[in-house]
Amino acid sequence: MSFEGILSGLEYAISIEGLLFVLIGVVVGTVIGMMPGLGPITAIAVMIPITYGMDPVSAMVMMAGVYYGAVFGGSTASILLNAPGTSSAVVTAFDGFPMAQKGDAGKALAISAIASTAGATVAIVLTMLLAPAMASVAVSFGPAEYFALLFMGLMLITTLSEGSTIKALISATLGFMAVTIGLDPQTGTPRFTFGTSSLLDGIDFLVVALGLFALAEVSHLIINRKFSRDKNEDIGSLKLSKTDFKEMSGPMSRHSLIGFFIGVLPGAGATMASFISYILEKRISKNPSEFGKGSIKGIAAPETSNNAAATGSFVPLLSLGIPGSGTTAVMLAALLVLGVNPGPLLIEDNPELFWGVIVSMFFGTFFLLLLNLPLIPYLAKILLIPRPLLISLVLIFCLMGVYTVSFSTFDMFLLLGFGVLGYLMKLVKLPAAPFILAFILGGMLEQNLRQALNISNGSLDIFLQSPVAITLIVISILSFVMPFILNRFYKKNNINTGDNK
Amino acid sequence: MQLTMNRILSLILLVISIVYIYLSFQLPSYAPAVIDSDAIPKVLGFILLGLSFLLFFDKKDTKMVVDISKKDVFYLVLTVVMIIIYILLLESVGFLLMTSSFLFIATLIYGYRNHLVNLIVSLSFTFIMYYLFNELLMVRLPQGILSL
Repeated sequence: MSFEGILSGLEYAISIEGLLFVLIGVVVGTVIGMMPGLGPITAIAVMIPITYGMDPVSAMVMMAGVYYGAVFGGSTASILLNAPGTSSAVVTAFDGFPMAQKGDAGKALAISAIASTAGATVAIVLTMLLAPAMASVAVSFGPAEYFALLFMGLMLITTLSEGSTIKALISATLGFMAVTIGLDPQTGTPRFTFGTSSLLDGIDFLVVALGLFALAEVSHLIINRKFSRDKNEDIGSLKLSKTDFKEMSGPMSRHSLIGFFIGVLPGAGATMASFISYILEKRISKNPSEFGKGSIKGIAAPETSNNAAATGSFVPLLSLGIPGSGTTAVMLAALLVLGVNPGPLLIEDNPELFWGVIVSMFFGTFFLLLLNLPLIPYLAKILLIPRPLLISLVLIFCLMGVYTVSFSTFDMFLLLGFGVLGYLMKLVKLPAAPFILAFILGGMLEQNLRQALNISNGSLDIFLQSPVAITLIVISILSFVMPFILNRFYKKNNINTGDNK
Repeated sequence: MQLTMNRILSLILLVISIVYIYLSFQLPSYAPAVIDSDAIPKVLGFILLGLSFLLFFDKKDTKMVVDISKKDVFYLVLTVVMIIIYILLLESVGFLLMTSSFLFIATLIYGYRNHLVNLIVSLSFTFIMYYLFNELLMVRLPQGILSL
């Protein structure tokens, strides 16, 4: 670990710029994350057009803030409305909402805020240790190893995603197909452009992210547009007693570690971490019957875990340049547009970015604690924004986001097309995350494969001779077996992982 | 044999994969390349073809039905139509007029009845965005008929 690097990151993080952008990030993330139906990918995609004029460090620090802010904010809606703001907060509603109904909403929010902070803080420290180590291993990777790594990331995310594995694979294949549209970067051959020049540059990932996520999620809001919260609801006291703290400390220490490692794994993100932690906590509990009725541990465990996992997912992104989830994939694509090439060399070439992002997470987490503890009664008022107003504002945000980046009405029509596609995919339960992931990784995957085979002159030996590549490919293939094991695990514990919205 | 939702979906995917494979075979070749630009698309096409077969015979979710009311479909289609009108007129009519009227009308259609608040939000949001992009981010938004 280089201390000079950490210092340069710290220098950025405590500068006025650094503090300002992390604050903007966490506030925007919390607010969007609180809106039921709008998830972290939407939050980041909406912010991307704004980052295009910024320097890469500030942009990345802000986007990271949006991500963990959204994970934080998602639980507020879970507790107050029983309508999770994000999928990673679905489990929080199991115990958070019953506690709120007993009149202890404030207590539930406080537990969630403290557990989230603990999870995030432990995970940041672990990230500082693990990310540089992983980067130093990956420095020697060539195209063959990168292909294997990308392949593994894609396979794991697909096979570990919720619901039907076949559908997740279909979604990933469609995403990969969408990215083959445009000029082939290696030979310059136009592919699937149907003779139009508008498609030569391919489809911008922002169009896909905003359409498939933001617009599709808005359609969910349009259907539920009548929903409104009772205005006179009181949150109650935010104070926790000593016994409450005692009860939280166990799950907080356990699940910050579990959540972090699940987050580092490609494919398993904050949502899965929260489910696994909840199940484990229930299993080791002395009285599992209190789970689901407003248990303190039932809130603390998933909240610690999902925030630790959100932080952990930055490890593969910053050290390998491989996104571990749909959300980090969108961030990766945004970084590439800003001219940063995330990979094992990032820590050497751009220590300010590498360490700036990690160190600023400490400040972001601190701001989130402030936002979520003393300010939560005011913040919760955001949930009172009338739905019709919210829907039209998000629609305009998406349209403007695309237009201000490409100045092309063609791209706006594409956005609409992807919005309709995203909505139809929701209807037939095709998950959207594998699509965006394959869309972003697909191009890199194809390039690395073809480069590797160019080096070996078409022979597959280049993969067989690399132990790293072989191991990774074997893991990817093994991952086909994992869903069956996980399904049995979920069934045994009577947890419904289907669409909980 | 019942035509469930998954089966309909798999038939659609089958058509997509066949069209995609056909188009992949039409791609021109580039001699010096070891792996030409048609290789990956062909593989992808056949993977999707295989997956659509698997989905057709998959026994999971066989009872799945699409649960959506006619009224909701109406609102979704209306949204699409409004967006199309917005895109078509944005460059000729201009950002200020189109955005403020889109916000006002859409909010009204989705059932918000406080017209004064609606008007204030629509106008102030539009002007703030216009100022932000034109003055701070140096992005020229289309002025249209309101040349300021």
